[in-house]
Amino acid sequence: MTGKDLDRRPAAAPDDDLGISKFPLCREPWESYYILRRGILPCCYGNPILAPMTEYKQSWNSARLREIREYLSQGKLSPYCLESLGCPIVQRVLAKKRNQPEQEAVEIPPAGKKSVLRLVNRLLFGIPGKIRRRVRARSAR
Amino acid sequence: MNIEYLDGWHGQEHDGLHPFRWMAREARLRLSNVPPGRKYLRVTAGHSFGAEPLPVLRVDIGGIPAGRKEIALTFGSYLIPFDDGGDVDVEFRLDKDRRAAGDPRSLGVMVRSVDVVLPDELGDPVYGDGWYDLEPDEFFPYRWMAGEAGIVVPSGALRDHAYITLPLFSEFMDMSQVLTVSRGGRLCARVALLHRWNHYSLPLNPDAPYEKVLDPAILEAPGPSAGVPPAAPGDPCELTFSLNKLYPPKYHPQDPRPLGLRVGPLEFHDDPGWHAGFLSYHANALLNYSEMIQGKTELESYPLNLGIDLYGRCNIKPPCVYCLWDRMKVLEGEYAEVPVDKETLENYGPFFNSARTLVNCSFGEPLLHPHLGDILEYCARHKKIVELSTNGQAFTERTIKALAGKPIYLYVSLDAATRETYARIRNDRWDEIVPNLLRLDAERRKAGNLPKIFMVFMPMRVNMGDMEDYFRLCRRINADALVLRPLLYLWKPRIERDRGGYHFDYAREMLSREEAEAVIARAEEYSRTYGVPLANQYNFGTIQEPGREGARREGAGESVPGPEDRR
Repeated sequence: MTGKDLDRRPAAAPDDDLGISKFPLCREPWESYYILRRGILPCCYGNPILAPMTEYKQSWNSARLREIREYLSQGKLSPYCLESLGCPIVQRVLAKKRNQPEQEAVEIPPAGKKSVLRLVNRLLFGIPGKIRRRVRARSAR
Repeated sequence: MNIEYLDGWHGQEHDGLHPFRWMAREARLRLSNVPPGRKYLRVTAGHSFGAEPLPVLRVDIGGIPAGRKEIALTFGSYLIPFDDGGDVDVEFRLDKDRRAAGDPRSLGVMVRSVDVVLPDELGDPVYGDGWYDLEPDEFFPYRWMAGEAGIVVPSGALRDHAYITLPLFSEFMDMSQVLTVSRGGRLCARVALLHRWNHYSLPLNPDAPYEKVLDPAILEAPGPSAGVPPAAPGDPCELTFSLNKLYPPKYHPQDPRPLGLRVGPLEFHDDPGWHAGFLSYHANALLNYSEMIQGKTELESYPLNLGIDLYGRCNIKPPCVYCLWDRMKVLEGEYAEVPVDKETLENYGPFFNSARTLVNCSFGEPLLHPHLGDILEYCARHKKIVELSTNGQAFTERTIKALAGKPIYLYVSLDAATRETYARIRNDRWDEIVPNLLRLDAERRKAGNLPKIFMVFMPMRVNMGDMEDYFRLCRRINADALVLRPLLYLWKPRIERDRGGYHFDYAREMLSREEAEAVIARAEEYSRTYGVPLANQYNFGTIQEPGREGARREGAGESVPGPEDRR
């Protein structure tokens, strides 16, 4: 490098230009992917499984995962995320909604037929989720 | 070759660390028996004028202007190229000087050393202008570079190798920081930088430059700087690094230096296949982030973090009280015993190749894997960071040897600091845990402090009294951080077990948000008291401001990247 370089020093970036605001509510379904014995998951808190372990290629752009990304990119939690209650992001968003009911912190989709059945099952019958998932995994295979 | 200090130099002093001498506003020296060919005068200097404006040093060699350097406050090296041989006179002129009270001398800059760098005789690269001193990091020492920096590389390395690999850490999350590398004034590479540490392979031959930046329209960020410096024929051994923008000072208020980028150790290589692998990794990462920023749902890119499942068996039977073992083994079904090894990872193809981090999420103890050493060796060779969680009961000579020296985040889940609590959560093997952790620590110290050890503590009612002792334990075994991890939230868990004289009821063990916040506050206090960095996974998914990533050692300014980002 020679002395002529002094005038070409870069300027400091604008203080708000660090790229943080450009990202979705959660980055996991884009930058992470879990190929596990128990199945494919979009994140470490994901529940239920998206597909059996061997179907990792197809599952990466499956309808379920695309839906999760769609919601998150709009700043919302998908129905799948709302089922993954172990996730601290979901817990934070839900807590925010509880604390600020007048502001729509998260848009919870209208309860569909599946959600209603799931609720009825949980409340009245308590059929363990593992049976449901086992049946689903078997039919997926 | 000899260096003779002529007029303008004051007597040698000592700043407590290094000897130095004050230079007056003007000074001269003579180099004798200088060999012919390209070489560099290296001046290591600092000053006491304050931050702005910085003093400018002009250097004439053989009566011809050879360089003009703005001298930074902290000591740094400045390289001035020249070609003269034989006896050479060098003149230094500053644009200002000062006088101290009671000292009549003209005081310009403090010069620690002046020498001549001969590229043909170099063994290692020489860092010139724009670099700061080495600092420690989790995997390797690094230097901050300012906006522009030069390195003289050994001419032998340039003759024998086509590429350099180097780890770079950008603070920008959106890949809008761009690094330009040029050699002898000609472009070698121009790359958008990924957030945090990533390895890059860059060509050294300016005849085949590599350029990969994101479309500014996507990022709405400034484009790269004006370009490479003007050509300097006969200057082939110097690489110039330049950035399009600096890390904003508001994120490092305690550090007044202009900071651009963290740069780890340079290595040379000559393997086109290896190089292609790095390019493919970089291109995928850029595509992944741009797809994320654009909100694309069907991705052409592959994930940067790959969750893997190395081993499905565990050595704790019955399982830990909170473990969902039985449910998971039902879910795993026929896959519970499927071998996952080096070949499996290789077969993942782009899913493996594109990953920066491999996160093991087994319901099983990964250290029991019969081919653990092979797998970890394979991952290290491919520059992957591996995250492993262990119960701490599988440290043997074999497993410690497999772990030592590898780029691994090792999460040790004990959740207890006493024999009694441990027996309530796991079993009665407490007495062997700490000696084995000390053994692991001793071995990793011989191997570059790798793996990194993160001690996991999940606050529950059963271990509420153990946290301070857990910090003490972390300090004793030199843990890199204590990881505070929430017990997985389960809706109606219905998990109850009697162990160690304690009735463990999962639903009752889960802490409320208020209780968790009190625990976090206490942990932060212990972290300061015991000097053990804290990684708080209750913050999962929170995007940290650059410079605040990872656990932080309060007061010391050291950061431990990584563990709070994922489980």
